[in-house]
Amino acid sequence: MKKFSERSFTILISRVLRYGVIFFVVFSFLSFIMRFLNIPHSSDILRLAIFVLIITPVLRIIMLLYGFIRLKDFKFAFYSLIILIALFVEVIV
Amino acid sequence: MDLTIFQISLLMIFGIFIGIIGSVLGVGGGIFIVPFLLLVFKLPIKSAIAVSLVSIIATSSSVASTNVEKGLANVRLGVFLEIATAAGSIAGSLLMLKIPSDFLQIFFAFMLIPSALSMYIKAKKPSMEEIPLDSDEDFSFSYYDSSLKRQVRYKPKKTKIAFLFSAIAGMLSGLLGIGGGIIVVPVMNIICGIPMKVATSTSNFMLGLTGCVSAIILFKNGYVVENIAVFLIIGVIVGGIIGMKFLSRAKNSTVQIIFSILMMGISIEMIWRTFSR
Repeated sequence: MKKFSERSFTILISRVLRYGVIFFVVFSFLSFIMRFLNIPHSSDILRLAIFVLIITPVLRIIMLLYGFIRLKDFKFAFYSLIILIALFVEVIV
Repeated sequence: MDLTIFQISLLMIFGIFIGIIGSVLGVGGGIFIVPFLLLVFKLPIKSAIAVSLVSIIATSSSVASTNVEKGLANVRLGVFLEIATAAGSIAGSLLMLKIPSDFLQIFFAFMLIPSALSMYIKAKKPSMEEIPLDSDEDFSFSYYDSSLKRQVRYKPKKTKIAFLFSAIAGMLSGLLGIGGGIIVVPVMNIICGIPMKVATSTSNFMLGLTGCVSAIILFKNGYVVENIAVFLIIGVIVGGIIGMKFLSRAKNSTVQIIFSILMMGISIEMIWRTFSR
């Protein structure tokens, strides 16, 4: 397995965020085209695009947790885990 | 809700503005977005907040993806302070503070004035002390500054105090509807002493998470008006790209001056709004 460096870590985190945004752009344009051509479910596609965009911060935290574990930076892996737990608590509260 | 071409253009232009201030100043811009949607699009308050949160997440994700890669955003410092903002917002919603929000608002507005002044003074006479990079320190980091054309190393100070202030930011965000950037940026810049561009980029990186849970809940309950959100977000993404180009070339002191003006403006607006009721 290739060594997981600090550089690979930054690339991993920035990719998660970028893919979320790219997914949004592609699917929202797809929904415009569908709407223009009167293909049904265009609004569902738009909803999906927005949904993926708003969960990117959660995916980012999950990837931070994974990345810090790969870096063996357990202190920050623990911090990421706390945030993830806090998010779940927030949902309940 | 069907939109006219005029409304679509208005949303995109406004989105570009939000994207620029988000990427340059590290603030989500909820303070501008919510009134804009209320007044111009006559959205109910919950929908306006929902669309605003989605737009803040868009600013954060699109800009942070580049800033994290460039090393402008300090991920470790961001994660550390995010614990505080998350804990603060839970505490805020649990405590349901009985402090009247007028009092809170005035208190906050008056706190902004000295912060704005101290940031402005710092911008006018920048101390170019170089802090040596210590690899053992958790948060020390370096970034390439295009305006100085060299690598800048820095080591955040007093991170525990910053943690405390971030918790307060998290708590206030729910109570005053303030995203937190307006508190977190000066804390990182003035208290921790990190370069302004790193402070705004790190704040921008953190922004997405703050409103994420509320955004998901509001989305699930159908408050996100999708066709308004989508054009706003497209504008925000474009604005983010423009803002990043500006930020990478800008001097730290320029960003500090713009930010201190924003703080003064918000402070005056809050005081005026409270007393004009």
